Amino acid sequence: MLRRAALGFGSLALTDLLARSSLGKTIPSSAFPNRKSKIGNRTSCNPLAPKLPPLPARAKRVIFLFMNGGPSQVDTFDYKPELNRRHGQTAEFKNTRTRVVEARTLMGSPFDFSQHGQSGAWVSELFPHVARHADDLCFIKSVQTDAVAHGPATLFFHTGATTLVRPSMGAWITYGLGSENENLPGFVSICPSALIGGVRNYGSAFLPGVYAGTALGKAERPATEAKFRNLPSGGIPDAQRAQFDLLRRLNRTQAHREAEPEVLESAINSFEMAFGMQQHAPDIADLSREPEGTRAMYGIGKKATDDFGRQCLLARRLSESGVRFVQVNFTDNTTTPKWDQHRDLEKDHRAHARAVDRPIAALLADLKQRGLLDETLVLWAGEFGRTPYSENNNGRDHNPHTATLWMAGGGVKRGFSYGASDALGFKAVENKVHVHDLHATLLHLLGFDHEELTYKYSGRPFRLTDVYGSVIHDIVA
Amino acid sequence: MPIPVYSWFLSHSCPDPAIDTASDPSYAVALEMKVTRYCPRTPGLALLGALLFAPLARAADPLALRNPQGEERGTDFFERQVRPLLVEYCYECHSHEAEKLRGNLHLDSRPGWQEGGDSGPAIIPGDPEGSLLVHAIRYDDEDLEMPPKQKLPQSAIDVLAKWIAIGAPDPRTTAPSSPFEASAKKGPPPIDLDEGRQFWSFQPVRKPALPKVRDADWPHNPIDRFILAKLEEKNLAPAPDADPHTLLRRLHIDLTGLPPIPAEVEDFAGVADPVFHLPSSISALEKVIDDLLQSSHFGERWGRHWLDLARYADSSGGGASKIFPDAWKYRDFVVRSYNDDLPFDRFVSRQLAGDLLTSVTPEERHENLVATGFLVLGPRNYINDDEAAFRMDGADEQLDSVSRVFLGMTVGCARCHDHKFDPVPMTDYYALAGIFTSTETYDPIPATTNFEWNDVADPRVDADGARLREYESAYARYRALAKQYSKARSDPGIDPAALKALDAERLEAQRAVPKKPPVLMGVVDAAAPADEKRRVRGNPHQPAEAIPRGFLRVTLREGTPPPAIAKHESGRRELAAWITSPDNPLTTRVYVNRVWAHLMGRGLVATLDNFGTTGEAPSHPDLLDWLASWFRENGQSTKKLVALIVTSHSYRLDAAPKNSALLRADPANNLFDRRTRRSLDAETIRDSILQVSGALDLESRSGKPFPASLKNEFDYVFDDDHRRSLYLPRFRNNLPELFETFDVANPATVVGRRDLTILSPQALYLMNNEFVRRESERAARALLALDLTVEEKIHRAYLATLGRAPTAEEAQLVADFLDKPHGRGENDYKHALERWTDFQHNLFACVDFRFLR
Repeated sequence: MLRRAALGFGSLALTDLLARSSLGKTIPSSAFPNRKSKIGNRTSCNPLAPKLPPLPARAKRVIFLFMNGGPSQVDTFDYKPELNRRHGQTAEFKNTRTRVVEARTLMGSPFDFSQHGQSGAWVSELFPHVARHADDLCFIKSVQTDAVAHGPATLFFHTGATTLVRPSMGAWITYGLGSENENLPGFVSICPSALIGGVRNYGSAFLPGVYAGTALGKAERPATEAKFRNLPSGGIPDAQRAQFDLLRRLNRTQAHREAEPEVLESAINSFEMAFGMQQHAPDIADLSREPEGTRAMYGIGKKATDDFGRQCLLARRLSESGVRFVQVNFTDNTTTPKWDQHRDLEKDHRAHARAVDRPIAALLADLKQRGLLDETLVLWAGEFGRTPYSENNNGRDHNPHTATLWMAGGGVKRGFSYGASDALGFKAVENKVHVHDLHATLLHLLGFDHEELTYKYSGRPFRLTDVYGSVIHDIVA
Repeated sequence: MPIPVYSWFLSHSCPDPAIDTASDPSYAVALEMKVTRYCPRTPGLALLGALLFAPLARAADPLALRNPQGEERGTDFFERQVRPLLVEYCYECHSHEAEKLRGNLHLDSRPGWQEGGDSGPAIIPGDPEGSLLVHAIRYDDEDLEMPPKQKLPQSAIDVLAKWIAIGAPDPRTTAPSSPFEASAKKGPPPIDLDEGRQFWSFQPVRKPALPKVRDADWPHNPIDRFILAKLEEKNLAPAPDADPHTLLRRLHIDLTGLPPIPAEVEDFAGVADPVFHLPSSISALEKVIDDLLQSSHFGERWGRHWLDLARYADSSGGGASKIFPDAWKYRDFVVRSYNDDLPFDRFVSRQLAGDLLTSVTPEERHENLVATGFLVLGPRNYINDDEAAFRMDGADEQLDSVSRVFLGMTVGCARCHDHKFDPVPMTDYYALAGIFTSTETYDPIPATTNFEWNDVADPRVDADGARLREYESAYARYRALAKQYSKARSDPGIDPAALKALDAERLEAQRAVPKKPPVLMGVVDAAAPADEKRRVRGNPHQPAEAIPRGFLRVTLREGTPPPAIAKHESGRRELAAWITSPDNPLTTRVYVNRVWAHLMGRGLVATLDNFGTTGEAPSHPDLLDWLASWFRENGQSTKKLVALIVTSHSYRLDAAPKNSALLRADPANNLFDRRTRRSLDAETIRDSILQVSGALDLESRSGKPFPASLKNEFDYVFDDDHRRSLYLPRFRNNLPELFETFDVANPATVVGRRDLTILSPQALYLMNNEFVRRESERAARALLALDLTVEEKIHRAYLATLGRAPTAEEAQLVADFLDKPHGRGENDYKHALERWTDFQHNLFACVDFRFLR
């Protein structure tokens, strides 16, 4: 048999692989009917049961710190002394939107850079706390994307497509791996934006809805509101217990009359599970259970960092409890999200960095001290980079030609840098990494061949990387 | 082991003719040899390579090895300097040994680069500037930068350019043979349409004779003959009939999406005999069915099914989701069409080509135009990042939706290459695409780089569109001035007086914009319809030859010429004619199958949107064709078709009794021998809860579902809105929580059948969501206000919520619950209300509410 592809994951998904679960607690298989099963309700299995990936995995879960708006690479992690030297000079650039060549004024970074750790990574003064983890980080300084505007570029980063409707990477990963915790979803997005793609950034598109991200809280609302819906805290009041007891009895009498009770049983079980979640899951979103020292480490209680600190701490609690893909969003509900500094870059980048720097560093330290970092992949990225030339005198425009992101933990090299942009930081020139390549690499680290994690829809198999993408083996530890 | 022919493709999304490198030892050896022979980092071996190939090189190019200046020439130059570069930088993707050949380009032989790949010949000997390869390695064109990851060192670029300049001497005169060659270069054999036509769904629809059955009493209408005949073949007998109350709830929900009210349950139970063969029952049933078909709620229920297919929404979705202010007019058109029982062919033609149909009255013209909203209201990202992609993606969304909704075909696959599974060549895709790119679906927003959907004048108030044109030109003038002004403002050298004048002019232009006249969301033909160019591998930036507009050729009878498309039109008129043609083998089959599935729980073809080779074969092919023929003979009336199905005996069946042979013989109920439970859809859950609580507002119907002042869909709050679910705004990025939780159709895609899940978040919703609790309490208050005994109140709550009386056991359980001491202070109404609320809440959460029997 020449073609290994006959064993394509798509054909196995939801049948054989589900049965191979071995991680964590598994939900009784009768809890969910497999509504897609060819043999109807005779077979049932939980689509969120934990699954082993087909290949050796370096990471079990992902925390994605999404820096919406596009933080400037040349002001954060991609040090460009040449740009600083030529500050104020003009140079010709092809406009990223119109593709017309025009003369633009170069703007050096207003921030000081220094080297950190054994690896000597250059980090700007914006990220003093993250800089202390320099030797844990794996930078990619040559990230390219397909789109120039926030909406398309954000969708592209999340789904691998700019306009077509595709599942989010978190949905793909949950489809591939299931959830490690029977009381929790596999994919959570904390305080997501309603704009710039909105729900599509954590949606499942044509994948079954069970793989869609669950939003906890929303952008522009305090992170204290980031809770599971319909899950009151404080356990189950006696009155509700009595009510539930009646429901249980009524359901039993109704199901008892059935010759084929499986589907009804699954509904009944869904209530039992819900009951269990109500008893246990609200605790996970309850940050007051954390010691004061931990809360302080994340910057909770300090005005600048309270909100993002809560998000990061919540991410750790979710991740630790077995949620596969946790997205932490630094964003808002505008069409010019947070890091989008077309003007006043120095002031606003400073404010944004202050809000996220300490919480992110705390998250890294916390994961590390708990021994979770090795199997948790942390990804820090925006949807694109920014131009080395100025806009409105003191801002920078969008730049799809290069951006810098970093990863940590989960099987990537530590204290490592991959790829490079040109001397001015306008375009990636060395080891270019397209967003498709990033997706392929994420899946690789989680134990999937990105070409084999497919789902059949509309008559053909689809994948996160469409027909593109190659794994960046050089960054794998 | 039977392996479906397409199994190989499952692991490759849009597979290239890939090869397996891992499991083929000879390949591994070849790979190793390749490396050792040519690796430029090991000069010794490279030299060996040069020696090995030297005789061949000389044979091919016996002329000068060095020019008079002593420089290397000809094949020596190639062997020493060019070949190592090609091997190191290009072969990974452009050789016969490539795991995945990219762009169909081979650089491992002279014929390879002469013929070139998808973009044409790669090298023109002697002409570096004219050679695509040189432009690619110099990174001249952003869309073609090679190697993609990293530009070559300048010295390498110079070597390759020089090689081409001296005539590109290349001893590799024949393409290497490899076991994969056929698939690597040639791709799959061209699609044979005649062979494709043999597939069942492309065969003409024929009306079969009614099958003979042994039990002549059981069938009520022809449908039952087909169902029973299959069962008798297997010596099976269908399940018994459902109870009157079960049947009544089934009919009400299937036909109107609302459960019966207690009076209706009681009335029906009064006249219907449990044995439905009795004439009194039959006439009572027929009256119920007739009333439901005439009810305005029929169009709301069946319109909603269609809106799932039409991916209907009130906003665009995408990066910056925009509100569609007029999409609701299409929604109302759909509801009206179902209530008026518009013949299906006219329903289809209006949606595809309403603007091109002749209409007698302005009202008819309005219906024709508003129907074309179908083509416009798909998910779009109106931010224009790339106009070519925007245009082709738009046409793709339209043609993919049209082909799935009306034809059950997945044509989108053929955008990049011939369809891998179905007989749809790439050229058919672009033949259809030309129809849609010749259609005006969106307009540029004046003075911006973005777009907006197309508005058409409402013929009832703006007959010739003069008001709309006036508005549009005034608006465009204002936008242009506004842009000019903002540009001037940021110009440091601007004269303040000039700026002031410009500002005044801008404000004057703004004032001069008249109020926007009422418009419809719809399409018209483009100013200059034209055939679309095929795009190489689907890349919008790589146009190839133009493809004459046309249709899926596999659906045309052999030898029949395709319908001619008038040059000056888009071709949508002909498209509609072809889709609704009696000769089209797909349209009617696909539609009657959809209607059947909504009523019977599963399609005769289980894959409702896929009648292609990867879809399922029909379980009852004769019945499918009989229904399709019958539908055509009966005026393409949906109501008649629905009536036919629901008056069949097959529709009335109950679940199988315990220990029935049916459970073993037909576990998945493929034979429709019994009723399969189905979960209620999100809208029915919500509407039923509101009906039971007494809050449902059945009066507010058509019209704009949100205030005109709404600028952003996220500002819309769904609370306390008691309209039927159909009439709530359907924003792509902001859906009511209940809709999301209970698997509402994703308005981003064509949904023929919702995948209804049973999951714990739904249980949490039913247990803890405010809406359910609030409506339970409302219902409990109403119950408590009735002058009835406790038993009568329980009875009534059961009738209202479940459409049936409680069993004795249930009545007892509930009575005991209501009676229990509660320990929260005696007395009071408040306590009673809480208990009754708990009880009603449980009725909404119990399985008999959730499932339609």
